[in-house]
Amino acid sequence: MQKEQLSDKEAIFLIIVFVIGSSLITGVGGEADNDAWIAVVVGLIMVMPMILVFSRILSLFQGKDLFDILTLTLGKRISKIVAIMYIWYAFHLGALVLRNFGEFINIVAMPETPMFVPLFCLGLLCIVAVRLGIEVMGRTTAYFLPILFLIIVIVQLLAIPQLHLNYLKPILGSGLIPVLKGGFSALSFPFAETVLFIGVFGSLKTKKSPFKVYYWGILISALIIIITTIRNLAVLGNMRDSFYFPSYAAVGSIKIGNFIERIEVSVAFIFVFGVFIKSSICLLVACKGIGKMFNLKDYRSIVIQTGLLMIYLSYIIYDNSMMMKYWAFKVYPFYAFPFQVIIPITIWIFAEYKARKNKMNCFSSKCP
Amino acid sequence: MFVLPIIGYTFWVIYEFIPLYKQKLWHDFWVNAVLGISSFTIAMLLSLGVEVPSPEGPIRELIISIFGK
Amino acid sequence: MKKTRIPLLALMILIISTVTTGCWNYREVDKMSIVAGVAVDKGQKDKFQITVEIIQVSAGKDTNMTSKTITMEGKTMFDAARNIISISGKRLYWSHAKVIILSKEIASQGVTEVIEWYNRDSETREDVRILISKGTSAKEVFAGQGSTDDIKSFVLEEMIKNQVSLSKAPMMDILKFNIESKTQGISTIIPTVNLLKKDGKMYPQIMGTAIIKNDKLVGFLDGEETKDLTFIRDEVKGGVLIEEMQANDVHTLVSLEIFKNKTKVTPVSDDQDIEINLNIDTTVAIDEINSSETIFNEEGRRELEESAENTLKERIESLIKKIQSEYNADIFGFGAKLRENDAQVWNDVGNNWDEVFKDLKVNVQTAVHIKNSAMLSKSSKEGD
Repeated sequence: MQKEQLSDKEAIFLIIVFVIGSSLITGVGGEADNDAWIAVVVGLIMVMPMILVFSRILSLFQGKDLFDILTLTLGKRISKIVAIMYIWYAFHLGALVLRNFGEFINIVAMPETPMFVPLFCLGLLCIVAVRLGIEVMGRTTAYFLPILFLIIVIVQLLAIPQLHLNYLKPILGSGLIPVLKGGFSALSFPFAETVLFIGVFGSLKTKKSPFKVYYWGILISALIIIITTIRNLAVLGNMRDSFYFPSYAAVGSIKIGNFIERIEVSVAFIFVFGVFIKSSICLLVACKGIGKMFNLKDYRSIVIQTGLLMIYLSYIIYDNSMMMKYWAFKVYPFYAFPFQVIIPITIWIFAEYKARKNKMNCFSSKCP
Repeated sequence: MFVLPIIGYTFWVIYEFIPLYKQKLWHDFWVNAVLGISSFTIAMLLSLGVEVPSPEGPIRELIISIFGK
Repeated sequence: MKKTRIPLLALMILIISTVTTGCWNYREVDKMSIVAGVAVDKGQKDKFQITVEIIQVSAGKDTNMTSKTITMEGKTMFDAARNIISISGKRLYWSHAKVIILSKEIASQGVTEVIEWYNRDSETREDVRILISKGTSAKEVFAGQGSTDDIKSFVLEEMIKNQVSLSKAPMMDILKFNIESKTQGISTIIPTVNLLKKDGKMYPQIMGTAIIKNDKLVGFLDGEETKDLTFIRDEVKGGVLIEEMQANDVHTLVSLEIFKNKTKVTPVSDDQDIEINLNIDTTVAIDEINSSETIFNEEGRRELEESAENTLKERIESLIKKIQSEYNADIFGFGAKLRENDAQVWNDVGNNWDEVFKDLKVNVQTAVHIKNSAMLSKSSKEGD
């Protein structure tokens, strides 16, 4: 079977959609109140060293994905444990994102419909996408992203009459600490979640360092998030934090003339596509991990079952939406920290060491 | 309600399981079987209205016990 | 491959046929009652008495939109809203509601408990206009005769929208009300509606402001005072300034149409001593003048500008005095402005802002620019 390949452009697009997908609508950096946008900037600065680490790991082992790298660097036994942890993380994250979507549909659009139905519908779609492979997902994203951009820009422009920029003031009114806290939560959600792309970018076409891909992807998506956060703040003011879905509420207040109003659905479109790509990538990484662990011929044969398990997990994970908000802001940053920062740095150190040793070994001969 | 998952999983067995069996991919077959049986169990439990415990609680407890409130 | 095709096909038919049938819990238009507006009074038996105005569409030669009102009581707002089903038989659909009217009694008990459900529910929308009925109960506003349309809520909404060229009532929707009541250092205002008796008919009229302090209604301002208030809040988009002129022992009135206004509030603070500088910069046009006086030359115009400036200044100062002494509610948002500009000082004084506001010194500076005199370049009475 031919190896799947992902062009640079598609990879950047995937990162953008992955990052903005669910964070655009649930809001980022809620701890910082009206400085949330500064928190996003702080989160962006915090994530920069991490993407250096991610891309360095990837470029040390060209064409390998996360689970190969684990075996190569950490040895057989430990790598299995770490691999299980990453499989769980990808699996869990996918379920969380799916759940976000379910809550959104359930709160905003169809309160009487059982939540399982939207979860199941989107979950099936993810299963189909993952079975088709990363290449198809890349193409789909490349096709849809311009439409998403167009929607974001148009909605942004239409919101201008509703903006009250004085809601942003006082800047840093309650000191630096809330901003740093918000920055930390912005690091864990959504920026450093891109750690999962180590499991995907084995299929990158480029032979150069994937740093460029990471860098542009994160930068563009951060820019979009910052602009949206400023808009949400300037429209909703201190009410922003009260909403589960601030973007939805902010766009809902757009009213131009008597005919351009109630355009919140446009935001829902971005959200649905973002969630679709994000949970697909999580599912893909989880399946690849399971496949590598049990030496399967192809990860595709287990996609359906893993996907269904993900849907069930997302269905049972929270009892209510208050729990979701609590988790997203209080528990998740700490829960995700090892997966996003500690383990990648460890892998990186080992990888550097291994690479140096390999170089020593094959000093005279040509290295593979 | 429990009829629906049974029908669904029957289709899945026909669609995916039998080809794997024929191709004699035993590794894939067994991993798939384990995953399939566990997901089928959860599906049945959900459809019968049994409350499946969420892993969210223990994780939250663990995080809080490590990092504090 | 052949064997799997048939079950696959069957599965696809099953999925597609279930997915494309539509929504899970669909509701058709004819099964709902569309709410145009809602009025909340204090109930006799229960806490809330709500009256909804429902749109009735009757199709015939041409579609006719009429409305009817239903009143019901309930322990909470949501309770009352759902109790209406017992009369109407249909579930209410709230997304198209334009106005929510609160009676004076219920507003003096607390506004937030009335609109909290409205904020929270997903079917209701945050851009609904909020009003307080001044003279009558809220319910009676819907009973009054509209001047144009049959659906009173829509008429009321039009009135609020077109206040931009009158400025005798502030603009307030639920979202803005929430933001303001959550912000420190500002007291909220709500426009008032009252019934005007004319030719034996009752017409609703939107004019004036209700002052909400700490979530409770404390007082009212009339239309003229509201105009001054909107000047301070920098929400003036239009309106009329009337200027008295004393020229050649003839008492004349000049109408100035406001075209543009910019109000700058700058808090100045040094050592616990806070002052507010208020700079009002207005561009107007002469739209009506009853004088043969040569107001159109440089000197006369300057004189008119100056006297307009003075009048405006006096009115604004007296309004601030009145609010400070009578209500002590910072409806101008001076505290919020201070917090925005200087969070340090606010942290010191914010806790007893009421005390500070009471004796706050406000320096009012006004500037009025006349940009033109509409279509006529000369006084109509010239040469009389």
